[in-house]
Amino acid sequence: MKLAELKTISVDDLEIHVNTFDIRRDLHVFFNYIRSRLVKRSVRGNDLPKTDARRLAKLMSNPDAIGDVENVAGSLWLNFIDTLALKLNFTLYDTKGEYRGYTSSEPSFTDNYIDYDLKQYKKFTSLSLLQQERLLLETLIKDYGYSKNEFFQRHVLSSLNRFDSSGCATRVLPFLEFGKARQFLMNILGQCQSGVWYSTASLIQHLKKYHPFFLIPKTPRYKYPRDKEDGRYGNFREGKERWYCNDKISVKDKDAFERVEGRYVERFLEGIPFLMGYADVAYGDALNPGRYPSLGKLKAFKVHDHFLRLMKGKTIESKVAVLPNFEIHLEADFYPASLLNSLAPFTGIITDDRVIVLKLNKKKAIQHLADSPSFDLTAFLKKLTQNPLPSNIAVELLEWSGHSEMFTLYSGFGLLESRKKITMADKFSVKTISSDVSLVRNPDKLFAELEAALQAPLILNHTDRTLKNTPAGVKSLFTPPKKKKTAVAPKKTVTVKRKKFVTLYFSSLDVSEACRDALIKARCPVEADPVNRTITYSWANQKDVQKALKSAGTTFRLRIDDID
Amino acid sequence: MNTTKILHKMCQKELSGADIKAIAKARGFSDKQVTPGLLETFLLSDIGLENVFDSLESEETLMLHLLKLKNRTQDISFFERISTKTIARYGTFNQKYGDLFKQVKMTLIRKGILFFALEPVIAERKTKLERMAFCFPSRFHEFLPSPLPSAISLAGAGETTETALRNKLVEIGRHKVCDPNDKKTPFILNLQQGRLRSGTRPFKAEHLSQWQKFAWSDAFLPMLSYTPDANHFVAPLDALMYAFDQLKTDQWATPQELTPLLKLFCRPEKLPEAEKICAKGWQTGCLARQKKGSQHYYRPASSLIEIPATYQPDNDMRVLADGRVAINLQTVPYKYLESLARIAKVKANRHILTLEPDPVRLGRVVKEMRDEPLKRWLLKNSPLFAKTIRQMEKRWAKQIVHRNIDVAQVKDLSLTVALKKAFEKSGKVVFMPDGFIAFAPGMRTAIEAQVIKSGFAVKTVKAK
Repeated sequence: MKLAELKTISVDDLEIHVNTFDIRRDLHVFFNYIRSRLVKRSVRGNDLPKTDARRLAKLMSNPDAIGDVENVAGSLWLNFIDTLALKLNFTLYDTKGEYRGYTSSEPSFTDNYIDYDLKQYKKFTSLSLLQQERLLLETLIKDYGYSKNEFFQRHVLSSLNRFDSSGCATRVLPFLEFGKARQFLMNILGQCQSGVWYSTASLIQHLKKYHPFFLIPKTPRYKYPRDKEDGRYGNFREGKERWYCNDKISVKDKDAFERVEGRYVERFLEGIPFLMGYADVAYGDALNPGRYPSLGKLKAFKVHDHFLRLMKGKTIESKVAVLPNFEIHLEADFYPASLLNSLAPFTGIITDDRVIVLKLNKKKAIQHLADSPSFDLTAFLKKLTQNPLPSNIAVELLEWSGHSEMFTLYSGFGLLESRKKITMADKFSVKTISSDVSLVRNPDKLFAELEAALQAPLILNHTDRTLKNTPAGVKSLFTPPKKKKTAVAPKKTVTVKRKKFVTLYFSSLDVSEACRDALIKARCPVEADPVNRTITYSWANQKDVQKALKSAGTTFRLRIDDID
Repeated sequence: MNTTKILHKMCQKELSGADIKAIAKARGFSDKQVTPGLLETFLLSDIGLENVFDSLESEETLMLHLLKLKNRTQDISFFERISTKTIARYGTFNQKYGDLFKQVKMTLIRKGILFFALEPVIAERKTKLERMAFCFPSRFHEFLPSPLPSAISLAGAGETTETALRNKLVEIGRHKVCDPNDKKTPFILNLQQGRLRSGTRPFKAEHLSQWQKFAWSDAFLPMLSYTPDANHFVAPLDALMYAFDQLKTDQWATPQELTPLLKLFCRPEKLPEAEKICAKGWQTGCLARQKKGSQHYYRPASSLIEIPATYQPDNDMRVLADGRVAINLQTVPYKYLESLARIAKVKANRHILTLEPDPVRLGRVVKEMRDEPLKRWLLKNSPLFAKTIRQMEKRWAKQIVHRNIDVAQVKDLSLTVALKKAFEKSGKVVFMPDGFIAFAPGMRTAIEAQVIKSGFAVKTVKAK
């Protein structure tokens, strides 16, 4: 192959697309979600339920998924991850359903819970990153059908339009081996240089010159004998309208290869290589504006280093560095799920990018060491890192290890307090706490055996909330100490305040107003109610009020009669 | 709504000025103007209650007793049984009970002994009258006159019969419990591997009291045993026992006196004769009776299961040659039977039971026996029992098994100090030697939190 003939191209005027979404990461995130929850697919449509879809969308590396989930079709990215997990046998669920009634137009999926195959998943993650990547790639490459291929179906991140698929089950398409063609193209890409923008047109010309039958054989097999009349390109039509393309492509046309295989190559490049992050692509204006499908729009492509390493079988598995600031830096060509899973119990993720940064978490680490006493964290990290472990980290880890063994909880056991040594209780003993107290297993059985042995044992059935006291006269560690008698507190004096008020009731409004004015003039604090013709004042002001009232009226003299 | 709320609502919203005046007059409050607030304050006092209750008709008094028994608010239809007019079978609620409400208002509400108020609307739309709630305050209960005003005082405890109970005991050893759904099963006395049981329960003398009531009600199936209407009617046996509970210690009543109460409390079409009910009550030992002239008087019998103060065990218990104790079912006190059944293996031979000590069960209760006459008798007369009792007393609680408890070992001194500081005073954690601590399972979360807060982890060892 003379790949040197491939031309480079300037992308200055082109729209560059770089895939920053990580299919591998999202696949593992998806699996962990399904593993931790019971998810039932919808009865109609067999889709992920909206609630779970929303949660999953938030976890995906594709931020558009959050908004897309609300669409009728859901998030294409999430659906793709979901399907990929199924293809890899990480998850299991019914995809056929059943037709409920005679007139049902589509199948129903009742109680279709998503199951997961942990064994299969662990088998996958136990492979090297190279093997994992190859398996993933192979799964995508082999996933095709006569209608499900680059000619007719968009990939999840594709933007180019497609041929009209009507008639795709006839003529040459059912027999085309897209898997082989894809692999062939992958191998071609594997011979390119990384970081160089190549012209798609030059790649197409290269294929036309040296591999014109890489996709459709020279003498292909036809579905029906009459299909031969349409020739090798009988499945493919162009046109002015999206849904009505009737212009056939003849083998004899000079640019027939460009119009069929050429279009395939464009759509292939924005498919698997772009999706998997192996290549970036760049778009420009189509060569056939106003015609469907577009031609020559994907102008350029550029492959990455990690892709070339993959093709050569030299994938960087993982580079781990433990820093003195407790950070752990992971660098690998592809998402190191297995390594991350093994570090998760004692780390937290700081950044999740091409270089993943974790941080050792003391609490998590101590608890993990307590839960797994035989685990040696220092040895584990030493084995992982290429460089020696920082000395301060080693010292800290040793201390953490000590902290994990300082508190041991014995759950589901009982205690035996025994004034006299009983041999028959030895088989229940787990630990001796003191000469007359021991930790025992199966306290109910022990009690029954002591009773049967006529030892008249006492059983204290403590409640969940409190420890029960022993009966009076019984000596035990659980006998509460005698409470000192506390002196009876004397009664507290509480002071209540009382205020006396006097209310004068007037039969005449004139008199009440005259009195009111006199009181106001004398600055006596009173409350007057003209509606009820009353004046109210505090008893403390009695003298001042009486003095003021004496001068209240010029035409009357006041006499106050008490009601009660 | 509770009484206080009803009272408040009634005084502030439901009563008119005329109602307030009438109540104040009936209860003998001040003849000066009584405001709703004042009425609310005084209405729950006992002022004038005696006079008001004395002025009531007997039916009205019985009605209040029924309200006392039910002890909850009722609607106007509850008072149908004292209606002076026939309640129509058809018509709206207001049409049926409008006049009854007026009657109740005049005879009970305006006497200040019955409160009423409008309940809030909860579910379906209801008219005001439907929502009216009536309540007879519990503070007035003690002032209610007896529902049996003609009950007389008679000296003596009267005549009781133990025949039914003694005949019941004789069935021990004859039956095996079969059908768990049979309502008689809980009362069938039987032996299961030497253990005396009532049905499937360990035997207790109280079960015999329960059986007495059961036998009494069972005799009048289906009349006495139907499920009473939750809102209105009471089962005849419950009505009778309520009536008898109102008697003073030396009072006795005739069946005829009970009839008006039964007619008001119970469903009239399903009422057996009071005479027959009382007679059956006497036969089962639930009632005592005395004859005066040609008339039988009844009252609740004293509990037959209690042990008389002067009782001597020698009368009914003897020690056999092999040390076992034999008791006569015709005469042994029921409580003794219960005490013995708790500590012995039992064999039955007609009306004689033989018992030998069961050390395991004795060991469980030996400290509860204390210095009972039965224990003294056994220690004195039965070497077999005496040996076992003393042996169990000596061994009791020498082994203490603690279950449902969490235990932890703390190996770090600073952590121990932190835990002691946090939990020692609570009394819910016991600190033992060698860094061990014990605590109730409910404390686990708090203790684990303290451990983690102190910078350590919890290593858990679970029992298999």
